[in-house]
Order: sequence, then C-alpha cells, then structure tokens
Amino acid sequence: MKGLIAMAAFILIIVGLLLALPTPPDVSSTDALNKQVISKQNRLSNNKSDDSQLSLNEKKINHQLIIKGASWFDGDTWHHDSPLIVIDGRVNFSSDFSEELSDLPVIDFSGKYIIPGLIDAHTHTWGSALQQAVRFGVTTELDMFTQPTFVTQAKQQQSDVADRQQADIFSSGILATSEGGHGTEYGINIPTIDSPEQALEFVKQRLAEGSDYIKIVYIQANKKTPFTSISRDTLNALVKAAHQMNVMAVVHTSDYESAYHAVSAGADGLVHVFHDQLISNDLLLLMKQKNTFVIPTLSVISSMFGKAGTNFILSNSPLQDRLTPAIINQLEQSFDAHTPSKNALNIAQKNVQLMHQAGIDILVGTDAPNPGTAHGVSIHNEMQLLQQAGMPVLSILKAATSLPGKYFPVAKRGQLIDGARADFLVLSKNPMQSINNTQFIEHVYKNGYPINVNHTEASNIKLPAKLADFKHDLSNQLTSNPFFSTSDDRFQGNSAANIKWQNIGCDTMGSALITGSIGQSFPYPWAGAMLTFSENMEIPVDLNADYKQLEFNVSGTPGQYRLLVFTQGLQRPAEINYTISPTDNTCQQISVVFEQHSSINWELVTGLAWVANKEHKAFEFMLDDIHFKAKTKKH
Amino acid sequence: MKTDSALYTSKTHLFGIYYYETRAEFLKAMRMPAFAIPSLLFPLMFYIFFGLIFNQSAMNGQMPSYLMATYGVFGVIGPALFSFGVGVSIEKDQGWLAMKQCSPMPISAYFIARILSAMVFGVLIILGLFLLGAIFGDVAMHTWQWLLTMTVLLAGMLPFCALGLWFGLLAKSQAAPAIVNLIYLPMAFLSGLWLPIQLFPEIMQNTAWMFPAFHLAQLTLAIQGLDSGIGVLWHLTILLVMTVIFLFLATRAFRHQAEK
Repeated sequence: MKGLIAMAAFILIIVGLLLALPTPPDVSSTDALNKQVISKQNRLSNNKSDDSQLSLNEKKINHQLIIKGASWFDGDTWHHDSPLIVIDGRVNFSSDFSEELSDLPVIDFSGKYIIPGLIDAHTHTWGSALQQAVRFGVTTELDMFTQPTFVTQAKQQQSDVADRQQADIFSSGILATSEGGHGTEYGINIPTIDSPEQALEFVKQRLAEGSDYIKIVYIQANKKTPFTSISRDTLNALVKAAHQMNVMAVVHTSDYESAYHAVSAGADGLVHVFHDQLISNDLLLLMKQKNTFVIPTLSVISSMFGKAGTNFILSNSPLQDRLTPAIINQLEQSFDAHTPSKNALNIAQKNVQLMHQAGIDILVGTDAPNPGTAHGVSIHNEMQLLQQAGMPVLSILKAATSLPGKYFPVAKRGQLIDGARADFLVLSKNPMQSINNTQFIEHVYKNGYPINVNHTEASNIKLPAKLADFKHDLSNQLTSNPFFSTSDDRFQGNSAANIKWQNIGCDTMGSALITGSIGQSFPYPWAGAMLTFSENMEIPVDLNADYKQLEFNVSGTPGQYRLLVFTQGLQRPAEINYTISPTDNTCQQISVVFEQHSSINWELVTGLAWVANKEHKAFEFMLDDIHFKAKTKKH
Repeated sequence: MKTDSALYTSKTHLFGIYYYETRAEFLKAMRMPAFAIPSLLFPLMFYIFFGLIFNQSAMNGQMPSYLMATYGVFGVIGPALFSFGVGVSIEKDQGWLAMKQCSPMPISAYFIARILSAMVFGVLIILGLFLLGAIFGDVAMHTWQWLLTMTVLLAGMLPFCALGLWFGLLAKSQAAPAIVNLIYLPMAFLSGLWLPIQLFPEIMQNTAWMFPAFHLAQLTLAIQGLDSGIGVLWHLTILLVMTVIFLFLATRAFRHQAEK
C-alpha cells in the first residue's frame, strides 16, 4: 500500500511538472491583436495571419533603432518631424520610451524619403524569387499560383522577425482551373475542377494545403482560346465556397465579358485588367457596388503586346547596378504567341483610369516572372505604367503599400504603423514628385534589418575543356552529378528515356548509351540525356568566357535530334537541331558554334540536354567526347 | 487448500516483490555514484554545451528544442545500456544472478526491477533536460508534445535494455564497461544525438540507419515535426524489429547462461 502511494505521488509530480512546462502562445489571442479594422473584411478575420504563430526567436530579437531626419510615409500619410522607431524588428509607437530611447542606436536619414516595403500583388513565386524581390524593395509578394510546398517552407521562415534577407509571401497555392485550362500548361500536375458540385471540396483542399485565398481562372464560353475553362456555374460555386470558408476569391480574366461574369459572381478581385474593350458604365457601377478591386498587371500586358521590359529603368537609377544578367535576360524576353497590338495596352490603361476615377481600388501587381517581367524590379515598371494610366502618385504609393492590407490577410505589412514589421525603403529622391523616384533606393530594410542589395550570384566556375569522355562511367569534369535520363514523363507525358554507360566508345573506350521512345501525349515531347551544371540549376556557367564552340560525338538511330540549352532566368530551354545521318554506326562529330546562335545567352548556361525529336518512336544513340574548343587568342 | 505457490503468486504479494525489488535496485544504483552521477549529469552537461551555449540560434533557433529531443535519447539509453550491459555482467560474474535465479522470486522481477529503476533514472534525466530547455533554451511545446516526448523516450529504453542485457550476459565483467562505452558513444554520435544528423555527410546519414538510437531519435523529433521526414512508420517498424532481434539474442544468451 505504501509502495502504491509513493509511486502514485511520483507519477503525479512528474505529470504536474510536465503540465507546468511552457507551451506556444495561444493562436487566437495574438490573432485578435493583428486583426485589422477593415470594412469589408469581416470574413477575413478568422484567416490565420502568419504573425499569429509567434516563434521562439521573436522573444530573443532585440533589434532596435531610431531613424531621424527623414520624411516618411506610413502607407496613408506623410510624416516630416517625427522619428521612426523600431523595436524588436517592428515599428513601435505604443509607449513612451523617452528614457529607454536614449540608449537606442540612431540613424540620421536627413533629406531622405522613407516608404513602406512594397507589396507586389500578383506574382508566381519559387526558387530564389523572394531573395531577388527584396533587393528591389518588394518586401511582400502575393503569389497567384505556385507549389504549396514552397509556400509552406517560406512561411515558416517569415513566422518571426529575424534577419531573413528575403521578402514575405502569401499565396493562393494551386489555382482553380478546368482540365486543360490555363494553369495546366506548365507541366505541373495539378488537381482541376469540372463541376460546381466539386467547388466546396476543392476550396477545402486548397485551405488544407495552406492557401491564403483562392485564385480562379475563368474564360467565358464564347471567347476563342487554346484553353478550356470552368463553366460560369462552377465560377459562381467556387466564389461562394470560398466565401463560405471565409477566404477571398480572386479571378483571372482577360476579357470584358469574363470579368463581368466574375464580378457578378461576387469575386473579391480581378487579378488582371481586361484589354479587349473599354469598360462599360454598367460594369463600373457593379464593381463599385460590390467593392471589387483590380490588380491590372500592366507590366505583363505591355510585354505581351510587344513592349520591351527593360525600357522603364531610368538611366541613372540604382536599380541598374542590381540587375543580374539573369534578370536582364528575363526582362528582355517576350511572349511569342501573341500578335503585337499596341492598342491593347492603351485599352488596359484607359480601363485602369476609368476604374480609378470611379473609386475602384487598384493594387500593384506584375505577374512576374512571366516573359518581360522579373521579381522585384518590375514593380517599378508597373508603377510607371499606372502613372501613365493617369493615377496620381499618392494613389499609386498607397496601392503598392497599404491598400493590399484592406483585402489580403497580410497583417499590417505595407504600413509603418505601430506593431507593423519594420519593412521600408529609404529613397534619395522624393517619390511624391514622380513615381519614377521609387527607383532611387538607397536602402531596403526588412524586419528592421538592412538588405544586402549587392548580388553575389556571379559564378566563378571554371569550365574544363573536356566536359565528359565517358571512359569509365557517366561522370563529368564539371560537377559531381552524373549525366541522367530525362523525358516528358515527369510532366505526365508518355515518352521514356534510359541512360547507361557502355564499354564501347567513339575514339576511346566508353560512352553513354541512351535509349528511349517519344510519346504523343505531351505537346512538346522529349526524351534523352541531360547534364545540369549545378544542383538546382541555379548557378550559371559562362561558356563564352573561354570557348567558342561545343563539340560532341554521336551515332545511333538516324534522324533529327536537338541540343537543349538551359539558361538562367528562362523556363524554356533554347533548342539547336542536329542530325544523325544513316551510317554504319561510325561516330559523327557535331559542332555548335556559339556565335551562330546569338539569341542564346551563352554566359548563363545552367544545363544541357541531348534529346530525340518528335519523329522518333523508338531511338537509341550513343553520346561521347563532349568538349569545348578554346577561343583563338587575338594579339 | 492453498499451497505455498498459490500464495506466492497472489497479486498483492507479487506486486510487493516487484516493488521491493525495484526499490532495492534503484537504491543500489543511487548508492553507486560511479553509475548515478555520469548517467544523470553527462546528458545535461552536453546539452548545456552544445544546445544552449554554442548553437542556440542555429536552425532558425530550433536548435535547443532539436537537441533537447536527441540528448533525451542519449540520456535514456545510457542507464538502459549500463544497467543491463555492465550491471548484469558484474552480477553474473559475482554469482549474484545465479543466486537470484535460485531464489523463489520469479526471475522476471529481477529484470523488471532493472528496467523500472533505469526508467526512473530516465525520468530524472528527461525532466532535467526539459527544465533546462524550457528555462534557458526558450523551448515551448504543447502539453501533449511534452508528455509524448517523455513517453516515447521511456518506451524507447526497452530495445536498449534488451541490447544491454545481451552484452551483459555475454561479456566478462572486466570488459563490460569498455564494450558498452565502445557501443554507446560512437552510436550516439553517429545517430545524430550530439549534432543534428543533417549536418553529416550523406554517407554518414545513410549509415545512421543501422543504429536503433537513430530511429528512436527520429521518432522523438517527429513529435516536434523536426524529423528528416522519412516517415514515422519506418522508424517505428525498424525499431520494433531491432527490439525483437535483441530480445531473441538476449533470451538465447540467458538460456545458455542458465545451462552453465
């Protein structure tokens, strides 16, 4: 009996102690703190803001400073005489610090202009986009379709106010589209929706994946397009389902009729402005009445209709120094499928003007990284285009900072108000004089920490003249990753490829033997062998630095083949055709002279692939002796 | 008619035997400072050095809670391995084990007592780590996570008891401490108990799969979502299979021992 009591007491003490150990802060209580007072947004209030998951780090961050001398914009009004105080990485005006303040480090930004970190309200974000964006002053991206896994990871990092050197993100996750609709062409296998009955389940799945809002792609039935679309009934059902689940529904439309349907359905916002016709008074009234906002994405429309994406950068803008070759590469791209029609941009801008005059909220979004746009830098293009459309500077500044918070659950981001993250830009020129002056960024601060704006991604990889001889295996002289097989089966195509080392070769022993078949189910089928120059293909190699041409030996099934050249910043590789002619299995040397393919950015190559063309059903070829020829030295 | 054996197996009586045996075992262990002090202090000391002083801000500030879990594993497998590996070996050579086998006490009481007293050490070590983590490492977890961490760690001692028992029955008492240390310390390091396994080269990460401590550590880390994401079921299954193998080996060694 005594033993039992002693044991019970021991266990009780342990359990008691365990119950007394610290637990994470209660989500609901801090959520209330971050709730914003917003007219329409009652239904957003139970949207968990990431700030509610206060991390442990938060307690330890002691990052504080006082900024004096600058004129600063809080997202709504300008302040000229008061300091900007940052405590624990956040703007702080709540208490009287007169005594404690004396110890804080003071930075004098006299004559400078401070605006809140910019919010790009339409991006597609992955890879190093968030690091790139912040160097150009975009401290928050509202993503409109990416992989939920990327967002989950990024959000973990933004849960505290540590020195992260990257922008924050909110995302719709996977967009709602029909089978074969816009959004399915990127080769990512995504769930689709085909009937109104599936709407609620679809929305619930997105929310389970961590989506902050729902993005819907809708094209009305009469419009000619290569894509299918969800029906109008499904559109209505999706918007209703999103609202039932207390999240926003935003809609991708590109023509007037579709936009009308979306607004009627009760969509919270349109993520592009339509450019096929001018807006009617009817729709203006409806949007006003329903409080629908618009993210025009004029940057991508301008690029679609033939305007170069680099023109906006002012000649003396500091942005010039921050452009990497990869970003320039991206800005110089254009859509190849569209017929140039200068008028479309004019219509789009006129619509923006009419909407703005009618009091409809316009947000600033770029649709980066579509061709002609790039993360971060393109927001300055977008703001210029909005100014051209007739929006006053103050409205644009608000649209790029505080206004997104009226609709999106961004927890005070874009504002310099008490408790907001200390995300801001220090400008050397007054943005109120011209919106172009947002390009004169001297510093970007994120979470109260200065961003290192100098890019360090220049590679100093020394490329060996002999890339691979396949003497013993599939290895190469540049990286530790061997050659591997690649085909469209990873994008749900039905081509197949296999690579193995074999002991016979062209001149010397050993080569790579690639066998495979080309299927018909993927629009741009391929199968063959690939080599990446770095783990995630993020480090470019300059082939042009020392070499003038690439040579390799092939033999095998006769016919057309392609060399794919992957370059940084572009999603689609450049293609160079070559032929294997019918001979008795003797090797043929193929030479690719860089000069003859001047459209390819040979300075930024991230990988190469040798693939068979469409005509092949089954193929087999051997690849050997891949090497570069040095430039002849000029005297 | 009640026989002696019926009396002796009556439940209260049996409980008494287990209780007194356990208490005696625990007192014995506590009175051997050479066992008690290193067992209790080493994990706490290492945790203070590596988790709280040096690396506090690493891994987005999650280092203290990560290492609290892995040093928990390190802490609990120590008493399990030493109590069985070294303790049993010495008592076997001294003839004390044979004496216990001859006594009317069921021999299971001897093992249960050892397991339970090792677990009491385990509880003390875990509580020590929890308090250090909570107070100095800002570790905060849901109550169910604290409870589950302790439960998993305590249950996780069983495979190591079995492993220790096997060594203890096989090894000579003079050699036992060296052998156990030779197993214990490298296994602890290679299983990622001292430093996060992600910091290791890939080949070492792969060889860690050999060690039961790695799987227990992954299970414990999974409670906080800090495991390497291979799947809890894998680790659980592998650990269970290892336990069965160790138990089989230990039983065989015990039979062999009893025949001598």
